[in-house]
Amino acid sequence: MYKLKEAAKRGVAFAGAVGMLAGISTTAFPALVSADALNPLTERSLMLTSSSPGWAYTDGSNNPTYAPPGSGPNGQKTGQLFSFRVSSAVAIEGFSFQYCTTAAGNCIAPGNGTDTANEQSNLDVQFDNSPAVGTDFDVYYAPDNGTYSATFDPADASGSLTDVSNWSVTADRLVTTPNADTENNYIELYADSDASAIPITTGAQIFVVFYGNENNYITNPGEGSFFVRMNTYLDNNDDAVIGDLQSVDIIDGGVTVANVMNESIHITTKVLETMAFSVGTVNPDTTQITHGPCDNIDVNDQIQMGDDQNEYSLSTTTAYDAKSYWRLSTNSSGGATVYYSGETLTNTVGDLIAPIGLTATKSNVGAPQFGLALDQSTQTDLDNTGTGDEVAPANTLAPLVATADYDLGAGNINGDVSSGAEFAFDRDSLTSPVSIATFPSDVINCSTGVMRYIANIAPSTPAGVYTTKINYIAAPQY
Amino acid sequence: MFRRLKLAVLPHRLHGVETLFSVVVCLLLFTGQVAAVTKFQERSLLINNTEPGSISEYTISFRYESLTNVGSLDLLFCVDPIPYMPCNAPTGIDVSNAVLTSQTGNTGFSITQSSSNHILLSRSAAGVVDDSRNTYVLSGIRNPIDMSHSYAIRMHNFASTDGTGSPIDVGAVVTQVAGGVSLETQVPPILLFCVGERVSDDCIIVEDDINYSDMGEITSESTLTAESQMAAGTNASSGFVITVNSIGMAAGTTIINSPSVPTESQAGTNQFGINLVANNSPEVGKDPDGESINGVAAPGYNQPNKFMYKDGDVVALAPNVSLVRRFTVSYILNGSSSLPAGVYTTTITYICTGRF
Repeated sequence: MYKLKEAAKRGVAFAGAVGMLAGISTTAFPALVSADALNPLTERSLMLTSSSPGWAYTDGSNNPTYAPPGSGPNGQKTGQLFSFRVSSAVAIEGFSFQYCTTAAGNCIAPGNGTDTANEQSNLDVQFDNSPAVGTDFDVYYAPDNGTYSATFDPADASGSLTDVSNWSVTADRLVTTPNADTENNYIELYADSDASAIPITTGAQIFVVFYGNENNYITNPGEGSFFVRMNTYLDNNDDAVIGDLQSVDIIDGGVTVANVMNESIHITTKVLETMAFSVGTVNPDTTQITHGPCDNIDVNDQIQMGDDQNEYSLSTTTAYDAKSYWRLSTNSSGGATVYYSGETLTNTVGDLIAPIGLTATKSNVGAPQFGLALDQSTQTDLDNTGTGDEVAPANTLAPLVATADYDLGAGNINGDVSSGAEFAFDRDSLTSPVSIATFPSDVINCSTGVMRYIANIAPSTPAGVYTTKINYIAAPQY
Repeated sequence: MFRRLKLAVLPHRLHGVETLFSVVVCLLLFTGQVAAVTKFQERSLLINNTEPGSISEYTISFRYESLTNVGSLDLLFCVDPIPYMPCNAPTGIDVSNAVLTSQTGNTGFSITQSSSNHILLSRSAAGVVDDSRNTYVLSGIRNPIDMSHSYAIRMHNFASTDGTGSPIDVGAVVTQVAGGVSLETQVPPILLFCVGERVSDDCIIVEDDINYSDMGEITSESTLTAESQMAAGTNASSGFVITVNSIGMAAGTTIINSPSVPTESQAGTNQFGINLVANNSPEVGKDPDGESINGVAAPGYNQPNKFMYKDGDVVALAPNVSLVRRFTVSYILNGSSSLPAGVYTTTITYICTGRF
């Protein structure tokens, strides 16, 4: 019995001591109050622009070209999007975000070191380069407790959300046990004055966005998960002293967690240089046979030019024309140029039909002329089915642009030629190909050139059979 | 000053160590750059003749990405551009006779190795390339014959002069042969010819179709004259000839003599003659006129004031292609007092023949 009484007395004393200690600790160490023990921030979430470790910031080719700050492969310069609801309807003048390895208790800054070559990086918060609302960060708040959304694109914020102005952000290092590392793990976000406070209502959503760009960003730790301890504050202390948010002003708090995966999955492939260039006399789009939208020009019969009722002979009273086609596709990033090379119409004894000239010239019936140009007239009903719906990208010259003097091949060549077609021809093209169309800056999906030829003769043009062969040359620049 | 600064910063005994360290670091950096394979930039290929199987000139242009020592440039002609895949040579290609005809930018190269689909350009003193655009023109290359697909030139450059070692820059250019467009037409034989008392010099107008002339009454004191015109042009490569065809002035079986060589008109003698030039004794005729100068009066009929006539003679000709040329034919007729009476007539036919 004595032992029972003794034990009861000792238990009461122990309970009293425990109670006293609890009271003393609550009074003496308010700063140690855990965020999740406060009025809670609810529906907390954290979205990262990248879950790559901080030492990884290149693309699949190990170049930074396609891994810019704020993109998935870049763990070095990331952005973060916090979303939560408040419990208290108290105007907010500040937020704090503390990055730790645990949700509560002592705060150790996340990270596995600073040797990036050995796949190490510490979490680091960089807001040293004049961060500004709208550029480096944003705070959106909802007008009520409805459900809203925001993303890393300011344009995606729900229409009823309000974006703050006159807010500032700063970063510092705030850990329980200092060590040799110096990286920042603490963010304070605060209104520049009381007038900029957020008039929040109970249960309303708040979105805090750190965009992550070249100058201001958050570096992921090299491995493992990290926790963010978040608080809201009712006073910014008005003196705008950086890091001046006080624990006594905390309104709500909460903790969210993010996990940093290992390096992004890199997918590498190669796009090889390609080119398809075909020349011929029958555009498959002008036939009724089944064909693809950019099939090769694969028929290259000899063109008979002239009066088909007179064995394709020319006349001193009528100009005659003919057409051929070429088609180019290439993935050359620097575009391509198409040239022609050839001689004017000649016979076997060296007589020739004079070239029409080096500059664009109209048809002159009765004078000897041979020339060529790109016919860029709109083509409809190519397959002659009467539907008129065959105008397709595959039958346009674009993006190639016809060279001056060779760009006006559409129009009359007989009768009134005042606004008719114009042609040119350079005999030197036989040894120095002449450009007829070019595009200097991008790939060429499917360009089709419609070449139109013209021939006129004079009464003195020596009789005979005249022939020529015009070669077309495509030169992409990769 | 630098010497003082150096002595102030580093103890003299550490100069050697510092220099050695710098050299090692530079070597490491340099070696690292060489080991990194990069791509030639702004690569292009222009062929001056894309006809399959023909001999062509290839102009290859690009920029070196790595500005380092380059002693050789390897060009391998394959169906596909993938550098590490086996090379299938395009059917029919032959670069073994290629000649490096010009080079700009980083120069000094010559062909040191070649086979049917491989060329190695080397330069004896490997120099650091600059970032200018380079152009290398290779002539004497026989194109492949397969037009159904493209083919590539795989390019590598090396620090060595023989194409050995690790490549510095790599890259490829792609092209495709394609048959030219053949055009055929005919220029038809053209012969323009007209005859009349008056015709235009382009043969379009023949005045009133008058083909008859009454020269009047023959006397021994005067010379009868008459004129007719004809025009001719052709695109026959050897020109044309015009012959005169008639037995001459005759009345029944009586034929007035005609001089067989150019002879002056002489009243009181029996003469029938023609020529195709201007005369002043008697005043008759004109010189040939018109756009062309190729058509001329034939020898014997081209002397002023001298006439002759011979059935079937060529009276005008053009040795080659000739635009329309107009000829004025002068006729003279003289008769002696003993010339038998009668009505003397003749029908003269001119025949123009193109010599195609």
